[in-house]
Amino acid sequence: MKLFSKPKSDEEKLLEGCIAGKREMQRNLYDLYSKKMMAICLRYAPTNFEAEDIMQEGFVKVFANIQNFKKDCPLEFWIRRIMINTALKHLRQKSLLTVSHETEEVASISSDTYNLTGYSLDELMGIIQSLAPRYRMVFNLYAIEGYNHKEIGEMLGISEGTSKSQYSRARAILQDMLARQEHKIKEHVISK
Amino acid sequence: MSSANKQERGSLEEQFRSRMQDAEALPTPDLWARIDHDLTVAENKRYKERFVMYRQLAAACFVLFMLAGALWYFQIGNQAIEPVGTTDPQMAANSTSTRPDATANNELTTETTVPAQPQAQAGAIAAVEQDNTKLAPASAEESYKSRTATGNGTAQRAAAVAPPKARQLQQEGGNDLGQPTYASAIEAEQPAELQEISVLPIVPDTKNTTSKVQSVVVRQRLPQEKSLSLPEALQAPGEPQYKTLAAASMLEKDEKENAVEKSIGKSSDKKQAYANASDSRWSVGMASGPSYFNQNIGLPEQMMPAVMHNSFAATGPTADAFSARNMESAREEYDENTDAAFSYGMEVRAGFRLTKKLKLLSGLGFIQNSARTKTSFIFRQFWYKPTTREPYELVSTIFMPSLTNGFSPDSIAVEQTNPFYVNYQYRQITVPIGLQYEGEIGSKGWHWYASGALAANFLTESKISTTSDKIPDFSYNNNKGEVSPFRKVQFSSNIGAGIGKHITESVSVVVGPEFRSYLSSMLANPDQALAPQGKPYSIGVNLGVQYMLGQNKK
Repeated sequence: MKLFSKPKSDEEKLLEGCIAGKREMQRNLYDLYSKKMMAICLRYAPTNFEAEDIMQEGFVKVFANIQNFKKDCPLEFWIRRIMINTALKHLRQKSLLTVSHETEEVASISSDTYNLTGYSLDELMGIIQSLAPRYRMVFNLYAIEGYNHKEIGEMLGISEGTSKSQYSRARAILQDMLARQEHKIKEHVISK
Repeated sequence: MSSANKQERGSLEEQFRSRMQDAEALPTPDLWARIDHDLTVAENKRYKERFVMYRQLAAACFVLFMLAGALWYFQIGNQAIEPVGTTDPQMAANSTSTRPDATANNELTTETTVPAQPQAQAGAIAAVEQDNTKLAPASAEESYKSRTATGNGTAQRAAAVAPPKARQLQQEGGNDLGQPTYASAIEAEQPAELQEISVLPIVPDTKNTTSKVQSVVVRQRLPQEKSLSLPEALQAPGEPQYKTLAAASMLEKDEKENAVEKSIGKSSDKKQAYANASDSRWSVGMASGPSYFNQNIGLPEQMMPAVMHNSFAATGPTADAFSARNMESAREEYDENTDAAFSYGMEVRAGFRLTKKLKLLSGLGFIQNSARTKTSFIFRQFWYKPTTREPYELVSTIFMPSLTNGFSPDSIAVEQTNPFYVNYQYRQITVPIGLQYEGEIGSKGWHWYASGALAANFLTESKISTTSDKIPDFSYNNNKGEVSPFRKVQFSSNIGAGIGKHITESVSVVVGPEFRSYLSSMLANPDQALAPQGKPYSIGVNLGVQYMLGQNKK
């Protein structure tokens, strides 16, 4: 009976409109997720321009395939995954993800505690963007997205060990960068 | 434990995760416009692909429809040309075979009284042997039993007397049990031996049925038949030889017939092929050809009687003496330099053969008649708008003002320039209906034709263009509702003659001159025009190809 049918949520209406190809609904979906997705794209892309290219391509993919969304996960996660895959493809096309099967010794995670509250979002984004593409990718996927090394290996076409090794190297670089950054801040405070 | 396993999420990871997980960044405002553009392009692409798919689907449906139509047509056509006479003997045979005997004692003489039998006897060329009573219809079986019970020495088998076609159908068709359907018409009064003689030498009329008849003649004799008297020539060799002789006699006769057919030669085959082609009533064709077109529109001797120069009679537009002289030159130039341009016509025709040589033709065609004038004069008319008295100018050649008698500008000027061409172009849709008479020339597929037709020609577009930049084109498209000074519908009589040749049995090409005479002038209101009007005509060459439909299959 229609009387007892569950009212459709805004997201469902949005989905139906996008599936029907209504441009207004597509615009609403874009407005809803564009800021978060832009931040993701900025983390994976070396520059803002490339981040916009990735986001543009990613949203076109989203609208072209939205009828395939199974609703077995949140829509945001699904869109996020498309953005990440698009970024991966983008970097592969630009040959920025040259796979090096390095077998460096993987350092154990230090017990040092970090407090990044003093850093602005732009500063943190700048630190991540300064990493080499392969390190940036592994760091993003492991530290922020929460994938494990096996999944990262499958996504990037590298072994689990290589993923760990690259992450270890990326982490060391970041630690070094943060240490230098803190040193600069201290010097700046002392000089004042 | 390897060092890799030592990894875990530390403070650094957690800090980055908490700060970056839900981070937001503002994209540039034009990013949506780019996405919107990409989406539009993708939609157009999908639409185009879908359109192409639908178009292909429509084309496939059309082809399928045409194929089905052609198949249906040929099926109906073939049924229509089946010999009508073949049905009667078969009906007669069926009526005899299924005719129920009233009683078991019913003698065979009752069967001979079936009305259809005389027809069947007239076409008798074969015998069908009832070799096994199990295979025979019930009535024949009962008849057989009654015959054996009474010791009747007459015919012990059922013989069908039917024309080849009916017999063939019987043999091929079979009954419900999958066995051949045997007819049981026999003559009771005729002794068995005579029947035997009468049926043995039977040779089919047509070569198509040869093998089937042979298989019928070679048969097993029933035990009751062994006592029958046979001709000595057949009795002496005994039973096996009898069978062989019967078959051999058939083959011998067939070979003779084949030899005779071969002696006639290939020419007869060819004639037969053309005869077959000429048997078909329907044909479709296409014709096209260039033509010479005369629009037959002249210019008046005195283009503007009212034009006065240096005159006190102000009854018409003013023009200086120079322009008046130029006007006369332009008129003479028009008369001398107006020639036919490349004109052509295309027609799709369907023909229906009324008699052996007379064919009714109709179809649909397109005609483009063209003419052109080489001139060097530009005609300028200066008018004032009636209400506002604003001046305006009309530029044309001398041809345009002659199409109407409303030519009364305030003043005119005729300017001489470098020579240029004026092209007159008239496009028409034509619907002809006519008759064509054909006759054979020799036996090699050549034929002649003479045709006459009446056609309705619908003017779709008339255009008067020039190669001069100074003069605008005048175009009237009747489909768009533009009022044209030219007649919308013109009737014409078309006369043509020529020769043709059969390329194959069904395809022939024709070539010959064709004359098209229009029954009215080009202008819609010739009485109101200054220009003297004649009836236009065109003389062209008809190049056509014709395809015979529904011809007999060999």
